[in-house]
Formats: sequence, structure tokens, C-alpha cells
Amino acid sequence: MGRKMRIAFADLSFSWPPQGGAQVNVYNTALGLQEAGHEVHLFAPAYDDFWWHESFDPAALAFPATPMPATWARLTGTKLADLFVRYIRPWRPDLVYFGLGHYFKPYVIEALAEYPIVSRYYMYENLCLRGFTLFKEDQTCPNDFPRTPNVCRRCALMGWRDKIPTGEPDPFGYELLRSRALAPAYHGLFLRALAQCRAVVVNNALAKERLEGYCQETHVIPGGVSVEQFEHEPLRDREERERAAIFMPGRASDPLKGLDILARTAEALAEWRSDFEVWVTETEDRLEQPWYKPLGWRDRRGVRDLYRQADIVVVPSVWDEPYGLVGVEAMAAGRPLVASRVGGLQAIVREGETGYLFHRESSASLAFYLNHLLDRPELRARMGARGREIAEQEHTWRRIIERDYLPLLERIAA
Amino acid sequence: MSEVKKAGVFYSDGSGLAARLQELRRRHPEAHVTVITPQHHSLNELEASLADAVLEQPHAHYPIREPGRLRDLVRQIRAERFDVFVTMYPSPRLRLIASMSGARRPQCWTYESRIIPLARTLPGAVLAIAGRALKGRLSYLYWWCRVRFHRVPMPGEVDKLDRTGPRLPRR
Repeated sequence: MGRKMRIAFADLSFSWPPQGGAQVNVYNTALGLQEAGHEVHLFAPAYDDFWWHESFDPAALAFPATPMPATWARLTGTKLADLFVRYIRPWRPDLVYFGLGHYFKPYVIEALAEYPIVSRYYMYENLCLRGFTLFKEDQTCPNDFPRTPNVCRRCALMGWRDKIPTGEPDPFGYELLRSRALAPAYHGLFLRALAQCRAVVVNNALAKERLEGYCQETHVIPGGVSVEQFEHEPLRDREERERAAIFMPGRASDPLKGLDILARTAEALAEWRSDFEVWVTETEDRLEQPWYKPLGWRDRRGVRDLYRQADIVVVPSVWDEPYGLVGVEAMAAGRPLVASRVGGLQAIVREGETGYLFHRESSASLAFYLNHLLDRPELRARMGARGREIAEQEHTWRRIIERDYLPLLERIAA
Repeated sequence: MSEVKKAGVFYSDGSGLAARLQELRRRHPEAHVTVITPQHHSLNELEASLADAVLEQPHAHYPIREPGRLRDLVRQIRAERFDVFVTMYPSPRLRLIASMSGARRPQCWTYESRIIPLARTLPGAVLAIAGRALKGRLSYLYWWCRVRFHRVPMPGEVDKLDRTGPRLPRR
């Protein structure tokens, strides 16, 4: 290890218990760097108008953290920048690692110009103003904010045309307006902030490719998984009349997650076989098919149980999943994975070894692979075991910190 | 010490009911918590364990043209005499229901964690709804003009969205 660094973690929407994968990512990165011998400190606003545990309790975290009192309903870019500067500056960090920041991020990065900054992007928030998805009209959007700001500004406004006029847009809508991200001057601020970061960390090659030329350095560092939380129970042989479980984890109600594709596939499969069920963590039984099992909302532990009971895990996302955490979780649980060939999922699945990749929205191709796996229990077991092995070797947080973060951060801080 | 003795959560749609109930329990451990839910939404194990009572409703929607439904719902809610009444969204309809709930503190706990205090009276709710709608429309109009007429100067950018309308003046 090089010299001991003081790393300030800045995050606009940190909450613990986590409300999403980005918070888990920040938590594990900070924890991993602390375990590697560096001094870390998390600075995040604690909103007094939030009901969820007032954001977070520092005592519940495994590293030091300071909740910065703020009122979400009164946030502006400059107020937020002042807040971060007021708390981070006295701590005198060697480096600032910026997690979630959405539209407000450029304001804070510019205000913290005196420090080397590593900025982490979890979705496509530095490329797509509309909803950070970089997905439009059923395909990857060819435009992006750094290159085509005027097209993206209009697209973002069109995206919010139903919500903003009601006076109650969702939080991203609020942030879009309050950060003045649609103003012409924001683009310049945005590009300056990107250029100012010593390194930008993204989840997949698509984001990296689009950012080339705007940042000093861009690195693809995927998230990790806590493999130890997943008990590896080898796949068991099903009784003759027992149905094999095809499990689709994640927010199935989100159209981008591709439940429709899986439903079409299962419908076709059901015409010549009835030995399977499709498990989905959704509440409503909107398909009303004998093979469809909506299991309702599950907490993290509940989802891990489902992985253990499933025979095959399917991730049929239609958009370019930035990372694809559920894919790595399936591997950690020792289950074969069939995923669409999109975004970060492409780097997770080893075709023919831990699972298969099918073309986005191709239910014929998905049906082929599912049928193939349903017929071959020994192949499922082999792929599952290999997936677990790879997850233990490559996707643990410890491995990601040692392999990706430490060399990068130590070089930048030096 | 918590002053809240009775809390009601109006479940209309979406996920996150359990998280709200957990937080309500944490804030008001002594409170009796009632979930008002449409019949078709059966509470899962966790949700059921966090609620003291469930008030099932025959309908999921309360259209204005069927005031009878709304009247029955409000009558039931008022009979409960809630101290806190929580809705999941700040929509106009839920704002109206909350204002008629008779609760001392009608609030919306949004899915992104915000707490929005809601009006306690019907005229207050109507004013709030109208004010928000007006503010929203003005805000949209302002940004529409900014986006339409104040462009980021980018030489050579292809205007991919503007195929049908009049062409924008190019800088």
C-alpha cells in the first residue's frame, strides 16, 4: 500500500439502510478503502423533510460519516455546493470521491476544485438528461448531453411534459428544474466539471466510449457483490412432477426490465412443455397464466432465498443495464444466468460457461436457451457452480477494491 | 413521548408500503396503525405484521362522477379519528381525501422519502392543488421558452427532433 490517504466521500442521496444499488456501492467502496488502511469519511446531506430514517444514522455505518443538515425542498445547486464545501474543507482530504449527485453534481465539483476528484456515475446521469437511461424508442439513444446538448434539453423537457405542469414532478423532475439543467449555461458548467475530475468511473464500456475526450481519465469499474451473504446451495434434482423455477429478479413492473419479453417467451414455451414456472417479485398477477407466479415484494433476505430456490435466473432487460447487479447475484447464488446482451450484463455472463446471452427483445432466442437449460439439469448445476466460482474470484468487493480502486486512487492522490 | 395514538396509511398503489409502516412504527411506537387498502391488494406477510388493523375498501379508484364511493370512504376514515393520515403520493385526489380525513396531521410520504404536509381542510386542499397546477404550468412554459429559444451554441449540431415544426433560428 502507498501512503495513507484521507478520502472524503461525497454523496447527494446517501441513505442507510440503502434504497438502491448506488448506496450499496458507495458503502462498500468506502468500507473497502478503510479496510485497506486509508482514512475515509462520508459527507452526505441528512434531509429534515425525509421520512426514511432522516437519511442515515452515522452510528449504523462501519466508517465515520457526517450527516449535513439540509432541506430537500429548498435545495439549489449553489446551496448544495456551499454545504459540501463547508463540511469537507475543514476535514482536509487528499482526494474527494463523489458518488450520487445527479443534476447537482457539476455545481459541487466546481466548488471543490482545489481537490483531486474522482466522480462515480452509476447510470448514464452524465450522458442522458431525460432519465439517465440513454434509451429511447426501444434502442440505445444515439445522442448524449455532452455532444448534442440542444437535442437532449428538448428531449428531457418532452420527457417531463406530463409531470412538470402538474406541479408535482417526481424527484428527478424537481432536480432537473432546481439545478437549472435545461438552461444553456448548464452545459458549459457540466463540461467544465467533467474535465476537472481527475478520473471518472463508470459501469460499462458504452458509458466509457461516450465520455472519451471529455474527461482526463475514464475507467470502467463494475460494482461488487457480498458473496458471503449468498449461501451456495447446489442445484437439486427436481421431482418428476415438480416444476423448474425460472426466476426474474428486480423491478419487474419497470418496462425497461423486459418482463414482456419473458412473458412472450414463457407463453411460447408453455405450448410444448409445462414443467416450469416463472417467478417474479411483483405483486399483481397481471398475466393470469398457470406458469406465472407473482411473489410480491421481498426484502434482500427474501430475494436471496428466491435465488436459492430457483433453477434458472433470467435478466431480460431491454435497456443497456449500466451494471446488472442481479446477474452477479445469480452467479453468487450458484444459478445459471440467461441475460440479454446489453450494457454491463455482457461483461458479467461468460457464454456457455456461466449462462447465455440472448439478443435484446428476441424471445425466440431466449426460448431456445431456456428450453436448452430446462432439458439439462446437469448443465444448470455445472454452470451455477462455475458462476459461484467466478463470483468469488472476481466480483467480491475486496477483489474490486484491490484490483481497481486502490491503484487508481493511490496514483491520483500521489 | 409520541402524541400520536392512531395513524392511518392510505395504500393506493405502488411499492414501499412496508417501509412506510416500519418508519411509522419507529416514529410512533405506541400508535395503533391502520392500513386502508383496496380489496384486491392483499398485504404480504411483512406488511400484515406491521399493521394493527386493515380497512379493506371495495374500490381502488374514486372517480369524481361517482361521489358515493368517495363519501363512503371518507365516512369510514373519519370514524377512525386518526392523528396522522399518510398517503403514498401527493396527487390531487389523494390530497382531497387527506383533507377530508379529519386527521390532525395529513401527510404524504413519497417513495423518494420526502414528507409533504397536506392541507387539513377541503378549501385548503383545493387551493393547494390549484396553486401547484398553476405553478407547474408556468414553470413548464418558462423552461419550454428557454429550451426553444436559448440554445447552447454548438457548431454543426444536427437538429434531430425538430422535423415537423418551423425551423429554429440558427446561431
